[in-house]
Amino acid sequence: MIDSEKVAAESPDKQGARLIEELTSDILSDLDVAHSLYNIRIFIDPDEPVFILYGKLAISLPDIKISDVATMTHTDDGLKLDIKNERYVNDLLDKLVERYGKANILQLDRYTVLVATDDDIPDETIYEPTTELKRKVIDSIRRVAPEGYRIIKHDITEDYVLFIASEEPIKQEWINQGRRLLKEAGL
Amino acid sequence: MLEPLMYTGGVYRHDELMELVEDLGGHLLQKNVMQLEVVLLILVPADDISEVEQKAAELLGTITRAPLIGTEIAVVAPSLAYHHMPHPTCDIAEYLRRNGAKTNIIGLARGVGRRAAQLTKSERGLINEHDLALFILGDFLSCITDVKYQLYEDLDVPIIVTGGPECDAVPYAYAYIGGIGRRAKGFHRESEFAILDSIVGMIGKALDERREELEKDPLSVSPFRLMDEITQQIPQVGESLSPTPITMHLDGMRIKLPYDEYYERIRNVKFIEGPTLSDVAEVRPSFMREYLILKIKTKSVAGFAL
Repeated sequence: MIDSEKVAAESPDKQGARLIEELTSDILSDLDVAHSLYNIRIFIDPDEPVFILYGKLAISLPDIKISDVATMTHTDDGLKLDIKNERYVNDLLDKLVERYGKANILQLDRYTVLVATDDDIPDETIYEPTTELKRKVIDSIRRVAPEGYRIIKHDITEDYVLFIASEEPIKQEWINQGRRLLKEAGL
Repeated sequence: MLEPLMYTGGVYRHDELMELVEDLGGHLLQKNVMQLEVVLLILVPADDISEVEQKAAELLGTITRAPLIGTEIAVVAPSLAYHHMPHPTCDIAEYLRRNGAKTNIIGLARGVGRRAAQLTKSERGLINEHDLALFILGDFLSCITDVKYQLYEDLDVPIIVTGGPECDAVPYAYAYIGGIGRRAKGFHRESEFAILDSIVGMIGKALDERREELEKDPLSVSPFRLMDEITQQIPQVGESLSPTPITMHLDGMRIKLPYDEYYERIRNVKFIEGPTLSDVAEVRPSFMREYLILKIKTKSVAGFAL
């Protein structure tokens, strides 16, 4: 089991490993993912060349549905949506446009949207914080990995992330090594 | 001997200081006006510094020594991606500017990685136009000592390399300065500023050696005199929107005018002693935009000195 919450890097080059640890902590806190990605372990060998990062992901936020953002009432003009949470308006409108078309949607003001339909709108998911978080995590890891390592293989689930990058085509042994490290860490 | 100084003060009456510098036989290299503040980069005869300091005190401005004035330095990063920008590349370039240098940040097309790291012909030409090149490299010692020297081994200018690990020297470089490497944060601590100061010190040392070398076979004309002649005889130089229409090098300058249009006029700039500019300097197109590069001939090549 990994018990430390710090970043730990391993490399044949000890100085380089220490510098990469520092860089990783800075980038993660800079991009606001320090609380979502933890127990991070890095293996980097520039002579090989390979960069392997794995860590535990903490995804706790639930998906946002239409009912979380707006209340629906039927009126003579159509279905009226009163926005409760303005932050997700763009995602809501995107979903409505996709379903009913732009011509059937009218935003009267900041908090009111009219949809030309007599039926109820299915309570669909409009925003997935998990997807956004995964994107941010991958973005931050790409900033940590050396820039020349452009061949990337990654595996990201609800629980963990495994990221392998190299200048050369990814070898099976690196993937195996990554999987083994994950297993050792109990992830 | 001219001393490089930076004056920082208010816009009000700053022209008095400029006039004083001219009267003392010094030169004004750059003038930056930022709202009500003005920054002047000047060269003043060493014996007359006290007069300039006195005038600056009268105008409530400050005079500081800026050892890199009159030089153009290339700050070379393996690429312009977020792996190297804005920290540390821009921070270092800014610090060099505060010490009087004119810096150009150059991001290489194929500078990253080990397998493909190389310089293109135009990059090599462009870096060679500068007085010195500072390479910003990464965190792994084996990369810096075994591979990345390929980027600068063929360059003619002195090279200073910065990187993360501590190490005494790297091949083909004048000096190596550790403790920087890849950074995701700015330079805030005193110890970090000490590293920046050591970069400035090392650049100053390398440039001083270059100056000494030039003194063995002196230039046929002082670059600053040449600058003044060009500015007077080709007034269009002053119309350029660039902050430094003429960027000084140790042995020449970059003139920010189109080569094709001004080549003949620059060559025919006349000196009061008789010769024209083409007798004392070589004019060629720059790798940067369509500017001109002037390299002053040494006394042994030109056969005389003005």
